[in-house]
Amino acid sequence: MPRWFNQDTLAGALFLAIGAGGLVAGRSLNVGTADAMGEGYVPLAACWLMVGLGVLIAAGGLRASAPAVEPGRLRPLLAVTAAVLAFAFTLEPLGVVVAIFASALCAARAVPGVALRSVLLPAIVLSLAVLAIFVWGLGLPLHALPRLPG
Amino acid sequence: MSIRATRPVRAACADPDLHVHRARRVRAWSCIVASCAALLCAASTTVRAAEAPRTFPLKPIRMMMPNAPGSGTDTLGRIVAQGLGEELGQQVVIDNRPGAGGTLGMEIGRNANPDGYTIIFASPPALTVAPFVQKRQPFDPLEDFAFITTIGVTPNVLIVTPSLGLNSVADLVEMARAKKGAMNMASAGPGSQSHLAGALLLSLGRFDSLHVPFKGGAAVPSVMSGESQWSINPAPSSLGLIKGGKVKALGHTLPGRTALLPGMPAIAETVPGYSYSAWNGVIAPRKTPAPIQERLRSGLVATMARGEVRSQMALQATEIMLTTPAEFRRLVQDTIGHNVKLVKALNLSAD
Amino acid sequence: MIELAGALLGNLAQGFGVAMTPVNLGLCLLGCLLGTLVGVLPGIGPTATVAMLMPITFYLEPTGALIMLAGVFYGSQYGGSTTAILVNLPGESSSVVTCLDGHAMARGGRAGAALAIAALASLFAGTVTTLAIAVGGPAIASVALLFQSPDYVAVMVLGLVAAIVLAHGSLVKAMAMIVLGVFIGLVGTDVTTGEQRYTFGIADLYDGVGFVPVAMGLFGLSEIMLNLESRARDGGLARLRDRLWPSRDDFRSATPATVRGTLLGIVLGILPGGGSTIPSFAAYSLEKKLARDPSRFGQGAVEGVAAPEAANNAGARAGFIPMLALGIPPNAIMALLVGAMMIHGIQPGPQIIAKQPELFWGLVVSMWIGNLMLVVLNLPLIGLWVRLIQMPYRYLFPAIIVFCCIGVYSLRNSMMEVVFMAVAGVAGYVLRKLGCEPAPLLLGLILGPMLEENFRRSLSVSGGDYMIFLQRPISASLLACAVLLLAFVLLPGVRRQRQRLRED
Repeated sequence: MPRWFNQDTLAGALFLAIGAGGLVAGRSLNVGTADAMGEGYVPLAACWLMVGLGVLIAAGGLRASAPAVEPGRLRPLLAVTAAVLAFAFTLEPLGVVVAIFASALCAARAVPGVALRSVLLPAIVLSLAVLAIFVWGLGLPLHALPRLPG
Repeated sequence: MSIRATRPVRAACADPDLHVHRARRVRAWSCIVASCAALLCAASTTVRAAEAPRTFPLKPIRMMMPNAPGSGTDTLGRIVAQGLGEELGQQVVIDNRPGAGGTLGMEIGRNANPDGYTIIFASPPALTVAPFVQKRQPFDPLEDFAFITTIGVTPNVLIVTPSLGLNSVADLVEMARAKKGAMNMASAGPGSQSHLAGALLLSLGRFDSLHVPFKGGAAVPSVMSGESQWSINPAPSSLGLIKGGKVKALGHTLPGRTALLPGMPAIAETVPGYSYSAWNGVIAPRKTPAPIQERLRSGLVATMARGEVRSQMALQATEIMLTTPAEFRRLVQDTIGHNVKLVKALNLSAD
Repeated sequence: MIELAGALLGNLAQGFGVAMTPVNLGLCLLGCLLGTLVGVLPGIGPTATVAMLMPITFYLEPTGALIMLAGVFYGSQYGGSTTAILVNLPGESSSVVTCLDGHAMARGGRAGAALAIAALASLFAGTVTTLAIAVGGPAIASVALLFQSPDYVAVMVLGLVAAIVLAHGSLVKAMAMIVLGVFIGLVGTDVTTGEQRYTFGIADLYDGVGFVPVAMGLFGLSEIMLNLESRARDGGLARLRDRLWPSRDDFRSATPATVRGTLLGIVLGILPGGGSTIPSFAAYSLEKKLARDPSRFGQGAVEGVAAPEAANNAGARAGFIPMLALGIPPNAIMALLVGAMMIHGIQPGPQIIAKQPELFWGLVVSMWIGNLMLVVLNLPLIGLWVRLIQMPYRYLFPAIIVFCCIGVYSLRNSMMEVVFMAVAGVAGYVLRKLGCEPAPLLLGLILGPMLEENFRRSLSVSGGDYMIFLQRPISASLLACAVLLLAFVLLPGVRRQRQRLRED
């Protein structure tokens, strides 16, 4: 890893990018004047601040003592995100039970070599618990099973 | 916030998962999800035709509430839901979907299955203002819904900071003209009832004030503290403060005097033609079968006749008002007419 | 003085008379129990809990109903702290701070101690605040009326400065995270002009980015990702040390922190706009400043749990007063309670204390009893909670994910909220890898919109004159405090010390 590749330079670049992105995406916002601020006044000011702070942070990354980035692993990141998204996209069309199974199946991919049985059993227990607590107990507007078409 | 949309009648359908062949291979998983889904969809289509309107309602009814829990409209809706549930013998549960000026909740309601199990608690901001302020036209307020009945009218009240020593609407107009508009009018946000009602007063009363928008209810404390001099707000939110002397009420927005606000003059007495009050009513998706609409309507009429509902409504300073579907539709049409004019005058519309 | 004491006793006696009837005690206990059980589910914060359980109270008489709701409120708040400590999931803004050291303690095998300290600190704060309300009572409420927009701005600025102090990494990064939080908070429909900002046509963004999905993602999901990365997945989340309860040392360091947290909580809780978020952030920062060894913070310092929990409870309770006495709900949960009161035929307002003293004082006292019951109820439950997180992690984490999803979904009944949580999870993971702490971002997210709204309003009323912030005594003095605090943080000596700690 090159020396400039550390927590500070990357964080600085990230803030710089977010700030610049905000400035570009918000270029059509109306800034207005101090006594009649438009909707863009404060957000664009925040973006400029982020750009400035980003530069400052990145500059700090040039020091020798800047902390290195701990290596991460892609698998848990993707699996957990997929589990949440699977839930989000199956809940309304297919109901909470399917959503739980979909989510549990995705989550299990976070760790290699998990037998299907050890995913399905907890998913069934979890489904029953969720149905009992949220649907029957609290009466949340969730439907248990796929919605009637049409 | 608590509803059951569809009762979990077919819980046994979950079983297919159990019978699925025990596959160890990872690739099998996606197939399992897909096949479960297919099975469940197939199972559910067959049950459909069973529900006849004669036996309506067979399960809890969901009432879309395009307002936040705890808001004034939400409180009214909860009173109605409670009573209607007892009348129909099935729970009526509130489904709060605030957001995008209420259009989110309205849209969900419009797109719901038109079987009577989804109804909408409608009020002017979500139905008659928001669709004309936003860039996208999320729904057609007149064509997309079946109008069941209105349930009541809630006046707004013009409040001022007590220390100003104002005693009438005429005093306020006079002071504002003398100060050449150097007064602040607090509102509950751009396009809110509070804003439109205030703007209407400015235009009919021919005086100026600086519009200071707040997020929701914070407009009232601003009048109390004297940061803003006046504001028009729904009566329930300010009655306690008026009684406690924290703000002074100069008039209400109904066209004439009302028994709900004894002793309070109508603004129209000083500014002729002024009227800006909020009705509330229940609507349903357009294609809801007529017999079910009728059942809902008779249930609502009976609800509004209940003693405890009447007294709770009175406490919300809400006058009970029942209308036929045709009258309701005309009311919505009129309200849209007024509001669109105001929205245009205030340059609020998106384009 | 004697008069004062007499009035105090009279008021409290009246309150106890109302609250101590067997029925009301039972309702209070039931409310606490339900509130705790629902509130402990990840993703279900106090507001959602109260909204869900409110219909149950419709059939009760008004005082009993409100007492039960107060129980639900306290139960759910404590339930939220429990989840924050056990699995690093803040269900509401004020438990963000509890996560920092509470979860660190749980990871170190001291979940029991953290939960007990949190319960006891909040009971202490509740007791003191109840007494303060009984003495100061209605007068406290009128403070709210002294506040105008510039003063709110000053409170927010003070709160944000406190969040900078709170950071244990780089100061500049903490500032950048606050600004990012403010920026995210500004997404949505502009309150003043009604224009859309950064919504990209997504209707779910029109009302802004919700706090809960962001908090759940930044803290909870990223935590799960990091756990899965580093830990043996078959073990539990934490080992259990030999003792479940706090040690004598724990009590010795927690007690003064609790007292300071309580006082800070009362003062900041009375200030409108503060709610219970600023008090908990401020109390944590104060403890860190006062500590002999600030580096312990974030690693499981007992004071880092006791002070914010005390401040949060004191602030929440002090915030009850404007709600009751003026009928101004300072936040969503209070708005729900006002709605419940109205449904029961009670009109909150200045006359409530004079006209319905039994209700007012009954409620004040029952809030305290609710707090007491909470401790009685929860101390035995601690053993159960602690055992829960010793479950093998591979069973635990899918359950946490599912509960988070359902909780976040139920906030607005919208699947987009769940998607936002996923995005926040990835963002949290990346930011944590880059040494940026999520807590300041969350404070920025909460305070940002309020800051902007009041900032614009101040300048609109003053005609663009920035001097308005210095002309009003309240805002001027609060801003002076903020500047002092900031100077203190940036002082060379302090900075050197921080630098040294970083390099250790």
